[in-house]
Parts: sequence; C-alpha cells; structure tokens
Amino acid sequence: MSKKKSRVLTSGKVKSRITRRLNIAASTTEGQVHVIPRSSAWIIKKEGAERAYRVYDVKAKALAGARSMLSSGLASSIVIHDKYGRIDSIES
Amino acid sequence: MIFTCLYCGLEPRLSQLEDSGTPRIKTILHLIKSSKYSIHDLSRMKSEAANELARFNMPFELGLELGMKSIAGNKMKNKKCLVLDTERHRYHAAISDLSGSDIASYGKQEQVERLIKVLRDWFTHVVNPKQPPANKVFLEYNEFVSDLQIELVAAEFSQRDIDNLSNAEYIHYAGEWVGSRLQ
Repeated sequence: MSKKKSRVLTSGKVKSRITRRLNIAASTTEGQVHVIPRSSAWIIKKEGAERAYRVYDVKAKALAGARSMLSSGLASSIVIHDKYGRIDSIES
Repeated sequence: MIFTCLYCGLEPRLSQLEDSGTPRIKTILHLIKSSKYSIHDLSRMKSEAANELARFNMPFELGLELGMKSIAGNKMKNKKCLVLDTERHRYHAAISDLSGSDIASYGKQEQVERLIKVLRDWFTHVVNPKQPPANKVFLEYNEFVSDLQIELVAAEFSQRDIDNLSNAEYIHYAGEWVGSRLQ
C-alpha cells in the first residue's frame, strides 16, 4: 500500500504497448518462478500457479530451492519479491 | 487494494479518475452517493516521518459518508462501507466519535497479505460469497506487480516513475492484467 498518487498519463502509444505486453504476460507462462515472502515463511511459486510449489522457513532455503530449479532447467528465471510484491532482484 | 477489488470483480472508483473540471468535493460526494460499496482506509491519519503532515482525506470522506447516510435514510440503506486501519483500536483515540463502530485492521506486518485477506473476506459478506481464496489473490498480486514492473522498466520508466504511477494508470494496467488472467 505504498503506491502514491499523481503523475500524468503516459503517451497513448507507450501505454498501448505496455498494455499489450501485460496482456501477453498474464496469459502465458515462460517457466519463471517467484520467490515470495509470506507471514513467517518464504515460498516458491511457479508462474501462473494458484498455489505455492514449495514452502521454506527462511529466504536462503527458498533461494537455494529456486536456484536448483534454474540449474536443472525446471525454471527459466527467478523473480525474488520484497514484502510489497515488488521485484527485489531477478536471476536467470 | 485496487488489485483485490479488480480480481474480485469490482470496479474501483476514485475521485482522481473523474472529470477534472469538477471540484473534487463534488466528485467525492457523487461517488459516495452512486457507489454500492465504499472502503475508507484511515491508516494515514498519523504521519510516519518527522515534519510530515498526516493525511485527513480518508477520515474526512468517512465523515461525509456517515453524514450522507444519516440524512439519506432509506435511499442509502443498502450502501455498504468498510473502515480499515492498521491497528484495530487506534481510532478510539484519533476519532473517538466512531466508538462502537466496527473497524477492520490489517496490522503493520505482512500488510499486503493481510489487507488482501481482509478485503476478500469482506467481499464474501457484502458482494458475493463466491470469491477466490485470499491466498490465490495474494500470489496473483505478486505476479502482477512483477509483470508490471518488468514492462514499465522495458518502456524506460525510472524507479521514481514506477513509484509515482498514477492511480488511473495503475487501475488500467491491473484491470488489463486481471482481465487476461481470468479469461
């Protein structure tokens, strides 16, 4: 809930391009996995999945699990989130 | 909050989205009168940094809504309103006139996760009992935020631009993403 108001709208062309790419991102899966902090846990979520793939008690274990998926070809990249959902870092 | 509303099938309405030629207060009164549901988040009534002013728009708008409901009687009897804060009983000290009211809290830790659950649970009571699980909405929210961040960076938005994205743009992108996801 840290998002602030204001700013002008982006130009129509840029907005259309972002919209088109977001629509594609939302409807396709490319093998990304997400490492997400939960209340007292860290999870791995596969892109497009409705539930956690794995649950860990600490971030380091979740990262190790995700990196293992990456090295074995089960994931194309790892998106590590902060507590607000934003990207903290990406590994590929 | 915006994402959860959209994911649960509701259309967020904000005064900033309406006709900019109309005085803000008129727009707010119109939105209060014409919306079926309203959510008032009082969490910013206390400033967080030194010399930062607290924001009183939400308590002010809550007061407007309660006043309108009281005057309108039957015309607004079906209007549902959710009042939120980070702490359950803080409003006793800040807005003691609200004592006896029911306020939902979403805490200071894991705010996003808890806020999504509070909203989703409220929607099951007042909108439709068939709502997606809060866990699913939270996971989807994370994926949306990262997809949006990736696309905005690709479009050469700076981190500051991303942090200050307007509500209108955010609602547009979140609505598009949710629409594609739930097809």
